[in-house]
Amino acid sequence: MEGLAGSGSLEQYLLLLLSDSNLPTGGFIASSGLESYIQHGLLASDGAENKAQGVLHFLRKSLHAYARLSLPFLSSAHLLLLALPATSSDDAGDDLSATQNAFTRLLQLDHQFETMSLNHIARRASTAQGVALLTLYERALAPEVEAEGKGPRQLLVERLRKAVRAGEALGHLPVGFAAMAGACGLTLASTQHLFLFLHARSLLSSAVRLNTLGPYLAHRQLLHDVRPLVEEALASCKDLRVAEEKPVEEGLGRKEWWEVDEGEDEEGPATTWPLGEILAARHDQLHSKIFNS
Amino acid sequence: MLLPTRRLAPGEGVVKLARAGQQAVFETVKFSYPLKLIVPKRHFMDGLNVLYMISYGGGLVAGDQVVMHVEVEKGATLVLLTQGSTKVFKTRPGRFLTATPLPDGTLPTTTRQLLHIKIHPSSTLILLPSPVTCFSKANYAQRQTFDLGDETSNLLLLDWYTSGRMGMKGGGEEWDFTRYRSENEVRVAGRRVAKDVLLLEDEDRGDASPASSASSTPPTDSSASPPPHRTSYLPRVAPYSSYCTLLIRGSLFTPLLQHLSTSFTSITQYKQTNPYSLVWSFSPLEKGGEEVGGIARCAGDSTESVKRWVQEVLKEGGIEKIVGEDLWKNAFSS
Repeated sequence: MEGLAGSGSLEQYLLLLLSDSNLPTGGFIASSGLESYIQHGLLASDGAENKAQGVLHFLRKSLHAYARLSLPFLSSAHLLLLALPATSSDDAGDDLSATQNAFTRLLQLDHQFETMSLNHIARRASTAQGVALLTLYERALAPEVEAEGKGPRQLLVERLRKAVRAGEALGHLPVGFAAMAGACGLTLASTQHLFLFLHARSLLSSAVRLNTLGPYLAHRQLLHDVRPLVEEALASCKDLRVAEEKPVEEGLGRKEWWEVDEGEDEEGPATTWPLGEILAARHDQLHSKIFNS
Repeated sequence: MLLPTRRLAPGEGVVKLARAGQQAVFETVKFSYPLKLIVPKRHFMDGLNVLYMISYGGGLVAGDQVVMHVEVEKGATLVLLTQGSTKVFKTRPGRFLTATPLPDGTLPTTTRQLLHIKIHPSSTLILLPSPVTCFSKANYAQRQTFDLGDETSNLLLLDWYTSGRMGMKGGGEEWDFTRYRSENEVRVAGRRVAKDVLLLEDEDRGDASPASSASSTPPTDSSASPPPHRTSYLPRVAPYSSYCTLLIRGSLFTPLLQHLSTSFTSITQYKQTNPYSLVWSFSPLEKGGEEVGGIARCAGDSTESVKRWVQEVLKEGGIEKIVGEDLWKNAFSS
C-alpha cells in the first residue's frame, strides 16, 4: 500500500471517513430509480410479500446493473491512478508529464461512460456526483502542499477537475470516484467494495426518506441482507475492465473496413436491467417527487 | 474493396447501395448459406431501396454465424428488413449446420449475428427487423456497428426481443434462454457517440458462458421432475415479455425525435399500485447542447403491444412518409 493510506489503520480511517453519510457529495438527492420504481407500482411485483422485501428485490437488481456497468469503469480508472507514483519526485515537470497518458485515458473512460449511459436522468445524476467527489478531494482530502510538492496522482485529479470546468470532460461518477479514491491511496479492492456499499446504503436511505422502510429495518437490512448482495456483485464484476477505444483507421494493411472492428468486449461493461433503465429515465415524469433521480 | 477471388464465409453477406440518378441501385448483393438476401422487384420511393435478410429454415441454430457488411452510398436510403421473427434455437451440442471450429478445436455454441453498416454522408439507413425470439436454452449474441460518415448521415434502428415461445404447448417458454447479448455501437466520423450493450445471462445455469463446452447439469437418479428452472435475469425483465429500443440519429428524423420528445414530456406519472401493461421512455442524445438524436425504449406485456407502440411512434414521427405507404405496410405485415 502506498500514499496516504500508508498503513492498514490509515486506510481503515479513510474508509470510515468516506462512508460518512455527512460527506458533502450530494448523493442524498439521488434515489437511483427507486422513487420511480415505487411510483410505477413495481414494489409489489416479483413476488415481494411486503415493502421491505420489495426494496431488497430492487436493491439486488440495481446492484447487479450498477456493478456490471459502472464497476468496470471504476476499476479501469482506479488502476490508472495506482500506476502513477504516490509521491512527488524532485522535478515537478516530470510529475506533470507522467500524468499525460493517464489523463488521456481517463478522459476517454469518462467519454466511454457517457456513450454507454443512454438515459438522461442517470447521466445527470452521475455527473453531479462525480464532480462533487472531485471537489471533495480538492477541498478536503488533498494534502495541503505547495505546487511542487504535489504528486502525480494529485496532479491528475486536478487536471480532471479543470477539464470538467472547461467542458472537456463530464466527470462521471465511476471516474470521479476512482480519481478521488486512487489519489487518497485506497487499494482497488477497498475502492470497489466502498463504491458498491455506498450505492446500496444510499438506496436504503432513499427508501427511508420515501417512507418505504423504517430506519431500524433499513439498518437491519444493511447489515444482514445487503452484505451478501454486495459481495455477490463484487465477486462477479471485480475483474471486469473497459477496453481502450482505438481509432478506426481505414486501409490498414489488407484488411476490409469491417475487419478493423474490435468485436464484442465480453469482459466489458453492459446493461443488465432493461426495465430499470426505462423506469429511471421516467423520473422527471413523476407527478410528485422528492429526489432528483 | 472486396478482393474478387475471395470466397464468402458461411453466413456472410456483402451489400452496397448507391445512388444513380433518381434511383438507389444495389451495386453489390452477395450472400452465402445460411444467410439469404432478397431485393424486392418493385420500386417504392425515389432514392430508396429495400433489402430483406432471411435465414434458411426461418431460424438460426447454435454455432450459426451471420456476418453482414453493408455500405450505403451518398444520397441513398436503405431499408433493411427481415421476414418473420428471428428465431434462435437452443444449443444442440454436436450438431451444427455451418459452425466453423474455434482455434482450440471446439465448436461454438453461441449463435452470432454481426452487422457492420457504413452510412456515408447524406445517406440513410432504416433498420426495422422483426423481433428476435430466443428459445429455451438458446445462446445468442448480436453486434451491430453503424459508422456514420458525418452529421448528415441518418440512422434509425429498431432492436427488439421477446421472452421466447410463449404460445408453445404445455405452458410455453418465457425468459428461459441462457444468454442474450445485443450490442449497438454508433460512431460519427470515427468517434463513438453511443454504445448500447444489453446482456441477459442466466448465471445459475452452468452453460451460460460461451466458453464452456460441456453441459454442467449434474446427473440425477431421482425420478421426481425437478422444479422449473428460473433464470437469474428473470426479475430484471419481469413483469414484461417484450422489449424494444429505437436508436435515432440525424436530421432526417427530426420530426420523429420531436414527436418522441413531445409525447414523453407530456407524460405525468401518478403513483400506481400496479404496473402498466406498457411503459416507455425517451432520452435525447446531444452534441454541444443541441439535440442530434435520441433513444427510446419500451417494455410491454406482449410482443403485439410493443409492436403497436413502435408502429404508432414511427407513423406519427413521419417514417411512413419517408419509406412510402406501400413499403410501410410491408415492413409491419409479418
